[in-house]
Amino acid sequence: MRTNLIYILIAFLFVACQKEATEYVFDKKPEERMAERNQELRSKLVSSADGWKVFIRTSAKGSGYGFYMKFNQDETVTMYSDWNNATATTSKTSTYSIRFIMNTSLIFDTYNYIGIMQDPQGSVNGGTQPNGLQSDIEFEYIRSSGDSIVLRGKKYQNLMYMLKATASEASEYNGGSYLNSINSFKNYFLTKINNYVAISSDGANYKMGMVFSPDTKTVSVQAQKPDKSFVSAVQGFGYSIDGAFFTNAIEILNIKFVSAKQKDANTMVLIDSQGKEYPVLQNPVPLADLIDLFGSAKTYNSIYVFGSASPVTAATLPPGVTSDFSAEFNGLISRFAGTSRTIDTLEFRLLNSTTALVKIWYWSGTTHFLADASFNYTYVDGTITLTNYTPAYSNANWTTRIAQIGSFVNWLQSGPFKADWVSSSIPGSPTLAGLYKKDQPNNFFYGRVRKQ
Amino acid sequence: MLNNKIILMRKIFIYLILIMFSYSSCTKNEENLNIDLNKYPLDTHQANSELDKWILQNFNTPWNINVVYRFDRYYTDINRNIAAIDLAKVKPSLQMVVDGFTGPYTKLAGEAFGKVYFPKLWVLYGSGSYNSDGTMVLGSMSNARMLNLYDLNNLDPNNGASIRRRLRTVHHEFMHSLNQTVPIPLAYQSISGADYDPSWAGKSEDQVRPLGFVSPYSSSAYTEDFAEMLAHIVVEGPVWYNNYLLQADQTGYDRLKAKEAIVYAYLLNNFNVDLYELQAEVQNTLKTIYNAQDPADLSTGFSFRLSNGLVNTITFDPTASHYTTYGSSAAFNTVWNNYVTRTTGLGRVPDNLILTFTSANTMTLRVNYHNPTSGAVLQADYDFLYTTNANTGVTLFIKKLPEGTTTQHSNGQTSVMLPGFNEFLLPYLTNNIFVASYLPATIAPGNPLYRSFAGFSVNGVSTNYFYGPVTYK
Repeated sequence: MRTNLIYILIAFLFVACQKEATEYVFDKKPEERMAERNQELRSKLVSSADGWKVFIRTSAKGSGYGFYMKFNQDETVTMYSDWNNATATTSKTSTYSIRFIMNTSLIFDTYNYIGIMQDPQGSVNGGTQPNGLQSDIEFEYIRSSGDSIVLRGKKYQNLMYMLKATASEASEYNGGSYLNSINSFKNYFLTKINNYVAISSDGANYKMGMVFSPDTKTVSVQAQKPDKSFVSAVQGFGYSIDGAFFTNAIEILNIKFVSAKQKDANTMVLIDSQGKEYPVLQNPVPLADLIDLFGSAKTYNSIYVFGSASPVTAATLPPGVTSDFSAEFNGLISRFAGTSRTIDTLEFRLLNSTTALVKIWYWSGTTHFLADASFNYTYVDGTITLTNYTPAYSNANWTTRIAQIGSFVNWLQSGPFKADWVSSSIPGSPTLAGLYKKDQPNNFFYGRVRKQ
Repeated sequence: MLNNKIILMRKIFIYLILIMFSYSSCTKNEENLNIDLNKYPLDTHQANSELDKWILQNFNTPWNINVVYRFDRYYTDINRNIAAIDLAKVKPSLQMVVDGFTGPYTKLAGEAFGKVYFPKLWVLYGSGSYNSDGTMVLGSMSNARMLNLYDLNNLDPNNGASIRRRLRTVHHEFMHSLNQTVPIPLAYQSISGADYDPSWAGKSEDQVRPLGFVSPYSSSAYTEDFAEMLAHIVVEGPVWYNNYLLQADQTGYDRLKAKEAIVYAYLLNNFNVDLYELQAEVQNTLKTIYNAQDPADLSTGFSFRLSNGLVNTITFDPTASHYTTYGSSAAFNTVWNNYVTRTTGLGRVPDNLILTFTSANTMTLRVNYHNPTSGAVLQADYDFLYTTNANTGVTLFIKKLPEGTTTQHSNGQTSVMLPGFNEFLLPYLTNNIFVASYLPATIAPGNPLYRSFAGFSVNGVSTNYFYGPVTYK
């Protein structure tokens, strides 16, 4: 029995030998790793003495918002926002905290500009009660690099991007330049139309058109492929101090656009994820073919010229365009003027899939009259052929005024016509389209387009 | 052989023990699993701002109350979107609590009361906590311990009504807290017994008042009813509460008074707090610090007086100087002048009108007139019925028939007096819906003449009115 006891004691010795350290699946204990990750985010945030450019996306409308934030050691954060003019120029300070809730989380725990989007009250942000714009004030820490941090909203799962600001950017934000750059950016896209960037992808060249909507804070882009099909994307954007940051990258034709940068009042570039710049250019006419937009059931069905009703002035052809039709047009106006009548609107409209109307609205004294005629038409490959001229469509005025309409009737019957865009030499001119005589390309009726 | 067998058995025994220990050594070492809580990342905040010091002094130190103003989803409905409180609203919100809640209770019940009964965790949020039916939660109370206050970003310390509404929430929630310590007397829930209905949101005060509820929300459950009773009496104040009682019918009035008595006894017997002293303290705070305004006392309102038969006469004398000073209605003057012209053409000249309210629903219109030929001064009387809404003042006049039989009534029916009356005065009074009020509006509270003039304006047409000096019974 004594030997038994010895064996047992020996066994105990072996057990004691097993007391060496356990191997961790990760390198440290959980509480240490939690504390370290918290500390990593905290020191990252406060390390940027010039603060961060911050961008978030909201779920309600996909709108993006831009901020500038400066995090301080004492758990306070000072921020500007592109929410409105006041928030872009007046800073507001609140508190933040970093807590470990399943993951290291950054919480904007007292109200600040970022709380506006999260506020459930529709009266605050124009969203729908009780979810506001569906945004977050609690964000979990996803990853970071030297000059950027990526977090994700804990409820709505939208990413928050933080980009380290430079000293000069910080002084611009703090000096009130944020609003100026926002207004400059808006103004660029307000005064320039038919914007596009030229891109090459898979051996083909594209003009990618873009529309920035300052109200919804979204940008939509579109390009037409060689097979005439369209590719498009819509993303939110927040204003930065020098342009806009897309709150999700615009992925189109194998390119990821991440931001837009305004270099001066008239120079704008898009920047892709590789840092490559694409200058924004303006097409003289819309990027889409007119035939895709013009038709009785399409975006536009009417080409028209107009004067004004009060005081009554005669319709005029839009400036900046040279067309042989102007002589015909001026003759029409003056023949009516010769009988003390003033044409204030002249319109060509595709009424339905077979009937086109020509309408002349004119004033005689204080009474407004309409003279109209109809045609049957075909519209094939951009060519409009008018047949079956029928005067006096809705009343007898066309016949009564036929002497003043005169040679215009002949012009209308001298087709076929090709419908296409018309470019004006006037910058910022509204979109124009015209009916070109097939055999005389310099002779075309033109005006603004609309849907009637 | 036997020895061999024993040795074998011993060996087996030893191996078994060794195997057993080797298994036991596979269990993980417990020491390594110990979490070092010194290294655990705690959810604590740096609390060194002026605000934090002020909270420490005014809440933590005297009451052991911990105030959580930094947003924490886990103290509220986790699935709701609720805004954080604005830093600038934290101190005004808490100052309101000090002025209108902890202060008054401490003054009445002593320090020990608050140390025991004040909820120990106060959580502040910026927006309301919205329910799916569009209503929102303004406050909540959990286990007599955690009191949540919402919608504090909309608090305006310079607006008495804004303070009043939120202070009402504080008192309401604290009453829940007391109820979670000392239950509501059983007698309370039987007063409005069957009339409790959880769907309160679409209801108006007018709908719940006859059932004996102080607010629509109080009709949702007896526990809410109890808290609402206290909060309304204490925070809305005696004027508001009396107005509410005045508008109640007998059933509603009786129930409200019965509930009030139970709330009073509950506070006094269990906590030695007098409801009306508490009311006086809170009202004093609201008026001296927050400049809160009480609603107009209904019992002194003209429409209330009129509908209760407390008005004696209103006199319209077109020659009186107050029509020059305070103006008169062109629309009514036209009616009067037409009447005078018509009656003068028949040989009698009307001088003035006196409306005598003989009861809560009868009125006699007297026309004082004279005969220019004989110089005789006479009176013509016409009887009317009227109804007046005590709240809105909307008043209807109806001709009372048969006409009275006095000499003055007979004068009114004569061929010289009746045509003008029938053509102008009668249709004006009976074809219009009037609003009874102190008129003219230019005699505002503070003017010595305030409430000494009253009259009637056509509902919706504020330029069509008549008024004059009023006498009361």
